[in-house]
Amino acid sequence: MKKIEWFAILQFGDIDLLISQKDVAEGGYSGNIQEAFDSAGENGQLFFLDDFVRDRFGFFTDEKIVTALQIKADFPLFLVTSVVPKVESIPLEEFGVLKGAIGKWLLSCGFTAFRFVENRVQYLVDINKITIKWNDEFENKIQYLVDTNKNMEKEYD
Amino acid sequence: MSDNLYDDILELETQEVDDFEDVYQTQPLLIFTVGEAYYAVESVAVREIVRNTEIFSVPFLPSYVKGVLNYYSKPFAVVDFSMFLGDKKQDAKMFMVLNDESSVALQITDIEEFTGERELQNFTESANANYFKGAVYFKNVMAPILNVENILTKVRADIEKN
Repeated sequence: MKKIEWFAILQFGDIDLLISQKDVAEGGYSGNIQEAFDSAGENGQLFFLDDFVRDRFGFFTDEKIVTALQIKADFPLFLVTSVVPKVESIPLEEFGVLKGAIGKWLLSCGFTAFRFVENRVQYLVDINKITIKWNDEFENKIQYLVDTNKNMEKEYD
Repeated sequence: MSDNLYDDILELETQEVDDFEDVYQTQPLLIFTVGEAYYAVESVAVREIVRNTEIFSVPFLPSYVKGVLNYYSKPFAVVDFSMFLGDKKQDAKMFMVLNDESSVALQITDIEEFTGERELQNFTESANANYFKGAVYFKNVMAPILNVENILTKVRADIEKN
């Protein structure tokens, strides 16, 4: 049984997002951003972490993307962000999982475990799952807007 | 003879029901407030009251689940009980950690007192009656008693709807 894991730590305000080393295929700074765009290709996806953090946690970041991490997923997936990750090993016993129905739901959305360090919280995340959930929500939003627009057009007619 | 037995059994059953009601009514209750309203909860349903701890937001949850708090280094989901009931958001930093496997803490406003024997009242008229199992009078006001199981069932249903 594994007791310690290496993590890429991405810091936003008073929260950290931790990505397990085993979920990262490759990572690079600055020069590799264009490569990430190219590698994602038509069938792949770039996950703009800063957009997600701004939308869901309310933290605004520098817009200049400097990091691209290739995430192990069923499709070419690249996480891009303005934050430069730290790499750190952390004993797994320092994490806590949320139990019950809420915990199971969050696990399915990509929020695996939590670690509290003084006044900060660290979220151990699964970027693959978050991307899928985020895409679903985005598509639902687009569908909602399309439906609303259609209904408005009907009303005008 | 069998009529006598029937009566004896019936009497025993009635006695059991009376005993149950007595026990229920003497079950210690914790009276608390959410905003200006009084509520009660069976003390056995509460693990601890914690104060002044920070809530860390978590995405993909219903708006009344505000995030997680740090409970002895373990995450507990914070349910704003006011928002859960369809009222306004709370800013109070007091949390009632539930004594079950749900890992949930209810955000409340303040604690009033522990109370012993009180006469149980019906509480069926409210739109939220399903989340309560009766009520008691406190300071001449009705304080509904939380039905924790039904509250958690609703939270679960809302999450599954997502």
